[in-house]
Amino acid sequence: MMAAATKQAAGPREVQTQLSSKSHLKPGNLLQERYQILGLLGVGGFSTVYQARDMRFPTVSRLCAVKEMINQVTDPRLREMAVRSFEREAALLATLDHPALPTVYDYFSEGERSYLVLEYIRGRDLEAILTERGGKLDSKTVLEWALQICEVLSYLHGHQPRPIVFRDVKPSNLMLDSRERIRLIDFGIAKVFQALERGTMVGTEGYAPPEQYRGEATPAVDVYGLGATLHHLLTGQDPRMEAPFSFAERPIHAANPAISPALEAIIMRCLSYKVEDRFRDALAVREALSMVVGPTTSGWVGQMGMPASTLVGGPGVATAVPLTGLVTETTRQPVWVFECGDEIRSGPAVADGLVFAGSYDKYLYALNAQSGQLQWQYKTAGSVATTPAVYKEYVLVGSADKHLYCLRRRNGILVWRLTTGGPIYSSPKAHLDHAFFGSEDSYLYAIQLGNGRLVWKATAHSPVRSSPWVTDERVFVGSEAGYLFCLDLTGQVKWQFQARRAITSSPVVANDMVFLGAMDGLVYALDANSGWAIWRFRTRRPIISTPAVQGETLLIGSSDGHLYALDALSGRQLWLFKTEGQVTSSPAVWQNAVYFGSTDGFIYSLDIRKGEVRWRFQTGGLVVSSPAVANGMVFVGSADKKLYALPV
Amino acid sequence: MRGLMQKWFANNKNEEEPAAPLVVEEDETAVTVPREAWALEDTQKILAGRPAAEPAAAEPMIQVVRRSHLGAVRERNEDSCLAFVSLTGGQEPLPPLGLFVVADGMGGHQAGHEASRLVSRLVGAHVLSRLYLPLLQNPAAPPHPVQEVMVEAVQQAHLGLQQSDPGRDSGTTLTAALMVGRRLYLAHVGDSRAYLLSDGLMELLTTDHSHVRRLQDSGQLTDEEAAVHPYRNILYRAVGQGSELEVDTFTRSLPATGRLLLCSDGLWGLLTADLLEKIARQSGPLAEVADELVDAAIAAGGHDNVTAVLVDFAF
Repeated sequence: MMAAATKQAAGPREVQTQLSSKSHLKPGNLLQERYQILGLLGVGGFSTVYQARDMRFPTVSRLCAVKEMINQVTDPRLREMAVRSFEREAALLATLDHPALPTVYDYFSEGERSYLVLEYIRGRDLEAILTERGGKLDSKTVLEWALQICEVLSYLHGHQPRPIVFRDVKPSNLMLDSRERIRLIDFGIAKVFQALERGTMVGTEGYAPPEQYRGEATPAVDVYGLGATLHHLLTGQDPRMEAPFSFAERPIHAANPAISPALEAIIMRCLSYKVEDRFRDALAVREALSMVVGPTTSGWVGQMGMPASTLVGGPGVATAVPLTGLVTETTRQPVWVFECGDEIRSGPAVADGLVFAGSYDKYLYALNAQSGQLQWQYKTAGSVATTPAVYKEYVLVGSADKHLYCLRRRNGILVWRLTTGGPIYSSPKAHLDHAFFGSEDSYLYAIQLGNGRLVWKATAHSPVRSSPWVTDERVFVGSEAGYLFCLDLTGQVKWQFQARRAITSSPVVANDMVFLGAMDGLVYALDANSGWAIWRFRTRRPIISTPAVQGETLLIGSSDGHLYALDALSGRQLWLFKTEGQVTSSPAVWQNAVYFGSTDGFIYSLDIRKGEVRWRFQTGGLVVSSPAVANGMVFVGSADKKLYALPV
Repeated sequence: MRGLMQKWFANNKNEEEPAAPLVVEEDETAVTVPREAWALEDTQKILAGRPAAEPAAAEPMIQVVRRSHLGAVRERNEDSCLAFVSLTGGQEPLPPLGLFVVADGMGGHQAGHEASRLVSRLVGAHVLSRLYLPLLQNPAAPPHPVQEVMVEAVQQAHLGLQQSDPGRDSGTTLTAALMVGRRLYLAHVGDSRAYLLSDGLMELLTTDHSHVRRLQDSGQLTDEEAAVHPYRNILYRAVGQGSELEVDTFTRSLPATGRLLLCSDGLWGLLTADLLEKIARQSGPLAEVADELVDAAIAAGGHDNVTAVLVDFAF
């Protein structure tokens, strides 16, 4: 105990290293006066596995695997809970009886350490075999293994009263024993599935389906892990090294032309991003696979001594899994993910198959919208926090380095750049061969696009972070002093409107009305001709999000955490949707869906009529970037430095 | 919030680092334009080539005619209406402004006429004192949000009616239209109606708060069935009735020219939609159109009071 308390101060990472390197049992050590340690088999994240000899059988050498877990929890109550949870799991494992599962001989706790004593399995794991055989396996071998894996997973998924979800199906957890049989090892993280139980993420990146990141564990999690494993074995492409959930872009036949289309289709269905698109459990996969194999080769199943009822009809694995509640809220598999050097806080722009996105790593990137492949990149001298504007052959972007850049959109060659007196956080708008944007130097600029010449600049008397809205007659823009200005195209102010706090949100004009949000937490609708306020709508926190208007529906986020849908003609609330973070991202609308991000890390898609979740996607950081929708995809950046392309 | 904002706007890390395009070399022809070099004469280039603005009418015009008729059967006119037009001229004119109200009173020991009169005038008083008088006194001061004023006006009239008529259940419909330049604002409760006629279209701007309308909207009644339904006069919302009043508000921009019609159900309820549109659309003096509308309603039975406010506008 004292040692643990001292180490606590050194930080968690160091604690782990010290414990795992200094506290290993030595050969010859005896546990429970029964298990003599012979050597180390492996060290995992939170456990160590030793080879040991059971001294209760002195005349024969009965070998076992002893899995040691060190309780690193310092809170005494939680520590006690962890021990009990271990014992509950061990007891459960000890009741399992299947030839592909290692037998649990014993379990016990000694002080801060808990032990699981298992049957020792001679053999090699599939990851080692894959490496040995040159990184790719033939489909006949893989199919035979797949059937065996399905068989043992079916046993677990059919467990009563609740299905057992293995949660970490991957090549290194599958062993081929000395009799060439598949064995499922490492039950360290297996949990009894409980409806709607949400826990922390367990599993392995690359093999874990999207919903597992939300802590959900249904048999469909194992179906995905199985699919990922088979994909890995057949293609040799390690999913841990690939973009997450990118299997769909890496067809198996491309790497392994010998695979039958039927087998590939089954594997790809296992890898469906949506739970409801996958096979519901391993039994369903096994049934599909046996169609590929044909009745003769699947005869091996009987050798496992499983009652036929369990294999085919069984006690209804599907009904044991309450999938309702999980399928209503679905998620998305990115078509591609592009990683930058720093956070992406501005929205991307899409035009003619190219996505343009600026990052805090100072670059403007141009990517192929279909593949995410980098076409070109341009480095400015400051963070790029503006959404690019695409106009004719140009792409325009402002940078915190005080410059507005005009690049050739085909190749990223600089056409001109214009220096302002301050960093640029106002996104440029291009219209009538001119660019309009604001700067921290308090001016609104009008630039001739062809040559970069300044046509006029109008003072807003305070920094302009709002992006202008430009019509054939007027320019509308907000200022940090809380004014909304309406100028004509010569830069003369036609009217101005004052909110109570800064207008960082950008105005949107529709139906001769100007809609905007302000730091005073209000959404305003103004008459575009006179600047008269028509209605106001109060949210509880400042608004940075720029509204989107579709028909008579206005959508806007607030840092009070909600996305609001208002009737644009009356300011009446139609619905609101709560996120766990602030909604500073500006919503994008496409058909009947609205897309936006939240600082809770999610990208959301809601039904615009009801405000119900169509899907959500979790990124690794805050999402303040505003989505762009084009080509059937949503493009949005995250503070996790990634730009995501998700199916709409 | 502060943390986020700092991240947004104060992320100045390494900004002193010089621009060094890694992949793309700067085009030799690129020009860095110093920000001082700006020329106002280039302004015309922005304006060149854009579509010409819609030619404005020489003088903004709002012309109004109102009719409120007893009908052929009733002994008392329980409808009320109000029309107010402001046109200013000279330097810096105010936007042309019109306020039009139709109210159709009901119930409460035959106090329906008092309800409609009181409510239409309270609404007029509130809107003009909150929006119009300040405009005359200090046109530079930002006006109150117009729809908020419209809703306040109806809510205050609602309370005013309840206070003046305690214990009785009189109520009234209310359809109020405020025109400020080319924007129209509506506040609406009950089954009086507002129509906009322009470009060959006649558009109903309001939704009746009647049970029959609800049945029609949910597909349970056809238009023909609704027209003769015995309960077609039953409202589920009226000013002066119930504790909380929900007011429909609506805004739209107006075409350069057009006609607005506000009327009670004594007009629209007796004419087919086609006949109403045919008459309302007629050119010729506005007064004749209004007379013809009333005559048609009376010819169709005239069993209710008939009120119509007709407004021609050109901006």
